[in-house]
Amino acid sequence: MTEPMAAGPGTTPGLAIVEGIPASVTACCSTLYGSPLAELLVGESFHPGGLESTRQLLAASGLRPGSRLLDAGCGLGASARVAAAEFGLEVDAVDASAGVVSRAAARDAGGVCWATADLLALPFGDATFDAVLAECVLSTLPRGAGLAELRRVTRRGGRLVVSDVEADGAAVDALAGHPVLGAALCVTDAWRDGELEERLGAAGFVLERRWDRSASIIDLVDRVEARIRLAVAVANGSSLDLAGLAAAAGIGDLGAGGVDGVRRLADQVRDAVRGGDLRYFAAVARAAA
Amino acid sequence: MLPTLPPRPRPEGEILHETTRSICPECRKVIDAQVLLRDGGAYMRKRCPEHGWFEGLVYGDARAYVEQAKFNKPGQAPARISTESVNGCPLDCGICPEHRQHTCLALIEVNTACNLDCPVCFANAGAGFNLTVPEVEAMLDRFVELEGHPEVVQFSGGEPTIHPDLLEMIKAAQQRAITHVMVNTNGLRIANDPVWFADFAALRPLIYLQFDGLTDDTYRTIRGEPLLETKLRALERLAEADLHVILVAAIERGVNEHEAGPLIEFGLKHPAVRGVMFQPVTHSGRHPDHDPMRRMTVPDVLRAVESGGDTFRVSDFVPIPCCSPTCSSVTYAYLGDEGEVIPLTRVLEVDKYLDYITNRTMPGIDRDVLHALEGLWSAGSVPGNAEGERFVCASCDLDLPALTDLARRVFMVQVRDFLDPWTFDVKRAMKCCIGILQDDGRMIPFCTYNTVGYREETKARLAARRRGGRPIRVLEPAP
Repeated sequence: MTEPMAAGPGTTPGLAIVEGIPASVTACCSTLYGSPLAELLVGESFHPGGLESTRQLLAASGLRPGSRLLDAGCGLGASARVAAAEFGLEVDAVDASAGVVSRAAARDAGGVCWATADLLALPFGDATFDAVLAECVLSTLPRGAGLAELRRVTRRGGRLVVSDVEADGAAVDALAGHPVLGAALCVTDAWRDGELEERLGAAGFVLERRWDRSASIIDLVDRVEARIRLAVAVANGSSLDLAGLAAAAGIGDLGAGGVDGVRRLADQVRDAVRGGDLRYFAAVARAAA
Repeated sequence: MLPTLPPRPRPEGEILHETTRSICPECRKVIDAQVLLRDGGAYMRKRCPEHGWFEGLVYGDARAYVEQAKFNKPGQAPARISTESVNGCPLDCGICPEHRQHTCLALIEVNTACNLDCPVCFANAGAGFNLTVPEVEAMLDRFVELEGHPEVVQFSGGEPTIHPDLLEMIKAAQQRAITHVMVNTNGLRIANDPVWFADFAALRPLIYLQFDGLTDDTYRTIRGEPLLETKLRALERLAEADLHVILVAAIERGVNEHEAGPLIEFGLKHPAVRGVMFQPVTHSGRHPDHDPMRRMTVPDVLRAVESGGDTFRVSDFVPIPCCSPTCSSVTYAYLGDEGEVIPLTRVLEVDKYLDYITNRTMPGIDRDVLHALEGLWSAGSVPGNAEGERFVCASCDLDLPALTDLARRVFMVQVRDFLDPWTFDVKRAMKCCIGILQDDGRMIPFCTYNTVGYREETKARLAARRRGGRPIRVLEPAP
């Protein structure tokens, strides 16, 4: 099987690799989403749909209290904390970035085991988990290897709970080339139409349910746009160092053209969603024999 | 054996969502009512044994009507109440032991006379009574006794500015432990009587200014005369005096819903205006011959706001959780130096904080943030108060230092839909947080007062009284 989406250092222009992140993980997300800027602009839960989407997915996956859940690519850990506190699950949460994991662990009131890990070489035995949660994560991994590793740690009959970006068409090609949006929306390596079913099957999962959550991209873009406008509006004469935050996030600038540029980009994304070229899905799959 | 009957034909897809109690629009008798969902809206249907079936539109978005349940905040008890439960809601006002909320905002209607004769007046202004200063002082004392430290008192009428003792009443309110004092006015005297206005402005009350649109057509239909020039002059005077104004627009379908967007844009640019309040015209006083199936409701106004401008969308608005969440929706925007208008609901995910069903189990909700947010999202909220500042500052994930002058940069847009005799719902009335103070010490929830018959009762009682040796007189309209 080929790995057309494999990513390594330097594949995404303008984005530096943070020290300590395994080369097998696409650099963009860990750098950008590990930065304070991301939390400033998006909030604690990074994926479209936020914690509401996570709650619905966990509820739909039919997990009982006490079940073991792996949050693969946990970011700042908002979903892992909800899974532990509201669903009573025993949660392990891993992320490729040590910095992100330590920030996540610092917010934990208890109930989650945190670890830094390469998502292609998870530090867990075979069939450890009743379910694996992967929100906006699979598209950052080499397709076959990523799914295979998640399948390995899931027990037979367990669940893969996933949400991710799906994209195709000309509008998306334009977005993918943008140094900020291509990375921030994971458009560069997004799933193509019909790819999920095929890849799941090859990795030993059977798709059970799938939801279209594309509208949540628009909500997220609305929020990021509003936060950028607010940050820019109040940045003058304050101690808020937007340029510094942007540089630390590896994106150089908040986007060429200032607030107008941000608005144009946001419009581009909203148009791509409304035109059906850019989509967000959620799915639950069963680990087959 | 009974004969069989044909079933009543029902609209396809109609769902019986809940049952409640309401009143007969004809005789005001308390009757059972159904809330039905269909065609994207929520409707109330009910039958009076004497007057037959009635049906009216309650909420122009069925999905939102159902989903608003998550914004239903647990009520807070007032310090004291005034009546016992005897006959059940809405006949024991008030407020009675069964009421589910304290009072954020109390109105004192100081008179019944008005210098306008609006076709849509819910107060049915005209001849009746003038309260005396001692009567108002007793009501203010009562409000403090009932609430402890009340948030807002609003002087209303009639038209309060033509009451000869209004300034004394404002001073009396300001001398008591009440945070904000508002005056609800049509602005005529503000526009036309500079000598009086100088004394009035010196007291610095907050102004609820009736302001239905930016065209004389709208004023002719809703107020009975072209008033735009007068309204603009009043607003100019208020700006010169640096008073804070909320524009209050009565919205009627087919008359001025197209003015909702432009009115917001106008308010955003005007130095005196801190917010715009839309109130669908209530058909409970004067002019009851209307089509209850076509009335404007909160979602209808929100759609008019979205389609009438570029600044706000329906999704920017969040229900006010202290009263029944279908009664009112509000949003706040941050105003930047360069004219930027940024809805804070988009920035801060306010609806997640105000989801009371989820939050019961959700760890880590910051109580300070929630408390400040509830202050902002209450029916008694006043733009420019400190709650917005406290909220954003406490909301640590958006630690923006320059937001410390938020109080003067926050602009409010609110829609508040009052119950009328077709839509009156005890479930909503029981959680009302707006009360009308009475001369006998009662505090009657606003929509109950206007629909069930309390208003008529109070007016008759006050018109008949002779108290303090002061003769009752009806004032001539101000020049």
